Amino acid sequence: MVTIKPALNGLSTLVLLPTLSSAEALMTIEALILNVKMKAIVQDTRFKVFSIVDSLMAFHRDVLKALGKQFLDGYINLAEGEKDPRNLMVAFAIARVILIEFDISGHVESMFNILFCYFPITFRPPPNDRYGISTDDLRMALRNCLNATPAFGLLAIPVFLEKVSAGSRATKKDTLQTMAVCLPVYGSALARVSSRKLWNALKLEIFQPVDPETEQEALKTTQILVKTIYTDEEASLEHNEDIQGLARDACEECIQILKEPEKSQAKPATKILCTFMLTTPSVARYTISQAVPHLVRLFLSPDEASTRTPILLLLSELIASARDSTTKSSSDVDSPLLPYKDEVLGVFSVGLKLATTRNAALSGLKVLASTKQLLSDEELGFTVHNVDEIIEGDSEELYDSIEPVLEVLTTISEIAPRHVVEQTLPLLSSSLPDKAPTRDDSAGRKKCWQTLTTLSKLCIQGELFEQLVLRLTTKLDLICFPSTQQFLLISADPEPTAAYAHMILKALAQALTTKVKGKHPDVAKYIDRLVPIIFNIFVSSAFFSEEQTTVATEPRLVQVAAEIINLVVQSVPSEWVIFETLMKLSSSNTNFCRKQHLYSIGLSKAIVDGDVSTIAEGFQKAAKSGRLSIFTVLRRPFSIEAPSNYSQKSSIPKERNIVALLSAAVISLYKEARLSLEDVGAFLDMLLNWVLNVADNDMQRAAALHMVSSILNRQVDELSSFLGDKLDAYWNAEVANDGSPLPRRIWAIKSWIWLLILYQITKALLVRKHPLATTFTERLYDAFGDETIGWEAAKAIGQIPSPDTVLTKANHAEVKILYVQKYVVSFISGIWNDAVLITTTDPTRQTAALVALTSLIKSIPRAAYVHEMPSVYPPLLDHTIHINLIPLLLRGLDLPDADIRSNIIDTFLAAAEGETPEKSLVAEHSVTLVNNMLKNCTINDILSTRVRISALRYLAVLPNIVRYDVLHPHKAIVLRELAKVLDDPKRSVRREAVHARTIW
Amino acid sequence: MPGEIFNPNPVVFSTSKSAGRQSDLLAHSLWINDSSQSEDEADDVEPIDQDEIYDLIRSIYDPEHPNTLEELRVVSAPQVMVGVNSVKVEFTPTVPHCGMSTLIGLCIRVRLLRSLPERFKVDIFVKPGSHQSENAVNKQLNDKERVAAALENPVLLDTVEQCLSNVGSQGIV
Repeated sequence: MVTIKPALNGLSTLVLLPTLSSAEALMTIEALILNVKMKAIVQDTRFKVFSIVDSLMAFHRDVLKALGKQFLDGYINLAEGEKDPRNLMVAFAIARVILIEFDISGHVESMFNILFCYFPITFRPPPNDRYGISTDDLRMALRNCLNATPAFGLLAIPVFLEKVSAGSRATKKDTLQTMAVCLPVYGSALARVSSRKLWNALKLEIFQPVDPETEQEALKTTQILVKTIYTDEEASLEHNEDIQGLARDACEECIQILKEPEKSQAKPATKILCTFMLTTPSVARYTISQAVPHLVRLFLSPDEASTRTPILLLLSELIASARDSTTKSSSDVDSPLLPYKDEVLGVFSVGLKLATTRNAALSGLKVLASTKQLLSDEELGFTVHNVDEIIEGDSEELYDSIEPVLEVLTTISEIAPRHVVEQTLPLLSSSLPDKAPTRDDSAGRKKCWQTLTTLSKLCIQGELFEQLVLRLTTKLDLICFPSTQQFLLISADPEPTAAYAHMILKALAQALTTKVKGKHPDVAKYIDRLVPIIFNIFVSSAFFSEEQTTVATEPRLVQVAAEIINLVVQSVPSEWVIFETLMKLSSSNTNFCRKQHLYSIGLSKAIVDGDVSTIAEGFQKAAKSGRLSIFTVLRRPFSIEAPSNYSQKSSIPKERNIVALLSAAVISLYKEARLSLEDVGAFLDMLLNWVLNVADNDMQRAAALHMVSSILNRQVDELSSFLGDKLDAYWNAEVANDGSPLPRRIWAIKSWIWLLILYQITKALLVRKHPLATTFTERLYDAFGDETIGWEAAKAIGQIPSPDTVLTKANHAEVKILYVQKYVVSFISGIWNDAVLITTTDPTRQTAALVALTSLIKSIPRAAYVHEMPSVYPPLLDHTIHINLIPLLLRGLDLPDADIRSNIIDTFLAAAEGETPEKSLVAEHSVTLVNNMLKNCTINDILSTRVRISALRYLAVLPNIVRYDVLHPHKAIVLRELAKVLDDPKRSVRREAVHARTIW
Repeated sequence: MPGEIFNPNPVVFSTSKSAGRQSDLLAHSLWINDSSQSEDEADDVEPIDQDEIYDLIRSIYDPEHPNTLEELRVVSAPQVMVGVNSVKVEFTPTVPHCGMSTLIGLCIRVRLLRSLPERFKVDIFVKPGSHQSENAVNKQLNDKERVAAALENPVLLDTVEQCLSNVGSQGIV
């Protein structure tokens, strides 16, 4: 007994030696079988035994095979009653080899006994398990043994059935999965014999599931069962409609249940039928031939009129899986649905007529339309016609089912756009009036917007979009340049007309946005079709605006138009540009349209000389001959004195709005396709002056600044002299000039504008990680001490790293990764010092620092998100919070500015992500936090809805990130205070309050 | 949960999409603005209405089925009546002999108790003629003492909590 352990140790090394002969192997195994009493030794030693057998199995399998019955008997003896998971892993591996390679005909039952006694595995690994064996490892190893031989089948089925019906959730799931892998091995004969019993057990799991997951597993197992039974006889059943056995019985059973389609059991029944559809073609055919006519009959029966909606829903689910079954096999077999196509289409078409069944019918039609090669061209046309009837009908009803209507039409337009173009589009666009609904006609206005939204969602496919552009631009032209009698009406009250034009532009922009997101290649060609027309309309309107009222000069319209132009220009692919330079702008490629490069030449002309003839071709002639005078006046004298000339011969303000359109095109040009300007620095200089002295609204200023920053971003290396000049001259002249003689108010506004400029410039540099960026920001930082602009400067610092829409990859700007991180790291410590340390010296500076800090922190996680660098931030954020940011932020909560308060709370919310009760940074401050939040969510103290909502959200998050025992003392107070908030006048606040209170 | 199942196969209705509030549809200005941000800061008071209370109770689970009260049409928006300081909720049991009606009523009461300001008085009734022991159920549901006593019972409270387990998700859109 004492010698066994060392002997096994020695043997376990010896059997690994390649010099071990067969005779010695035989001796070893015989000795093991004869001498080792497993029950008498500890698990480590037993492990040696299993290892030895395992090694022998690997190197001397023939010896063991020759030993035959003696080995099997001996091994079964050894393995019986093993409990240690590590040993079991080895034992299961050995067992699988035995089951597959050895002749076990005499030992089926004993093998079954030593394996099935472990099924199902309920082992749970102890904490700090040395060997790292998980439940799943064991489960998989055992499963591989159970499905190793068909011989187990007869014995295994009863065990499975028992475990499924009696076990817990985990057991059920394990058993169902094991059955799914075992059934195909055990063979179709056995499956057929025991199908009834298996089906009864599975049925129970499907109709009364413990949880959705189990239901899913049961369905999967059912599918495999049916497949196992019928795959063998598939060939003989090829053309036979009828089918015997389980599938037939189960089908009948389900259809029996489907006689009451509105009941809750109908759903699992349909799921089973859908599962059958995915098994073998013959079963699918049979299921369809039973279920579809049954449902159609039910639908048509007058007694069941009230249950038509669920019938249609079930039917569309069925045909959806019929569709999926054919796409899977991907052969050219006809859909099993083909024989019933007419009936089903008929039923759905009838369903369309009634409002109650409409949505269900639409979802069914969508499935039909998306089934390949099912509906013929005429049938698709017929469907479009039917759907169009809904569109023509009552607008209130249409509004209820607009989503599914669009889905059906979009699906069809992908297959056969012709029908939609010919039938639906004329219908929709004819319902758009040629003149705007009047001011009081809010119903008409709503209808217009609904139609336009529908159009913009529908016309995504290339052909449709082309039609849309054509129709809408014509309409737009009609509205913007009305006939004379119309004109009088409009000039009396131009606003409704402008609003209508705005709607149309918005619809175009929406459709374009969807297309750009989907990276449709056809967007680019609209640089020749849509963009010039838009320019044409707006430029002409600006020209006319001196003599008469024009609608297209409204800034809001210009903004949407700019959005459209930006979307199109940025989509022109870069290959075109390269191609262009290769061709040396040869004239032969007119077919290839003006690409960005060529386009930029036209654009430059427009900007520099006001010559818009190349970029604004369209219906209106005026645009051809006229000259824009946005910049031309200012262009000659580059100096600051420009304003004096400007008052005499000015560009009209309406014309200056066009700058937004030009800028929208410029900001998305490639670096290679830059504007052809003689002196870029001078041009930028001029632009900056223009912003300060000429521009008359924020839109113009922003547009011009976007242009500046975008040009800077692309050509920074050539512009260093311009930048050096800016840095000193402008800062001193405009921002830091305390002794400015101008009235204080104007001065403040000016400095604000200058800050904005600096912000834009810094941003342009920052995005390229240019060293000058830091210098610029430091200037800003110096302004903290100034009472009047300190606050704005601080805000600007925080805004700099926040993401914007101008300098982005989509607009082909040069963006360096991690620029935000670098910026933040370089600044945070400085601001930090200011905020904490200079408490005594300068309160203004300190407040400014605090403001900068909060807006900075707020923009960090967002920026990180945009640039997909989430891993960099948490450490940084954690770190800053860790060095006691919290007290500081809490102090910030006392600042009067509502924006800052909600920023701070949002910061807390952002920091709360990923925190757990076990490791929470805010735990020690929870008391203060809770009180502060409560103070911030009551209507009496806080007027801003946003702050109240943020505070409530944070309250709702707290219990998830702080341990319960810390918060428990406050529970009563919080609940009592929140009860008051439940009576908030704002619905959105009440909703958050209810949520927060439920969580507490 | 008790062994007996009162209605093993109830009718499931598809839930309607939460149709916009009537007031939202009418508030259509001349210009289409796609940001509702400005609305939030407006000063007008939004009183608690039928839809809001319905939103609070629609996603309560039925004690017998994995369906919500909305799906089983046990509650519906027109069955909620709101006064100045009172709320009246009517619900329809799926079958007249349903033994779960009191429990459903209790769940609704607990939910409203937790989510409405204290000034509201809540009355809960079964729909007239929809239950065989209508009076008994109504009496039980609106008796303060008996509701309080029921909530002292840990088993019962646990069942109620389970029915209410998912109501929070409705709040966050």
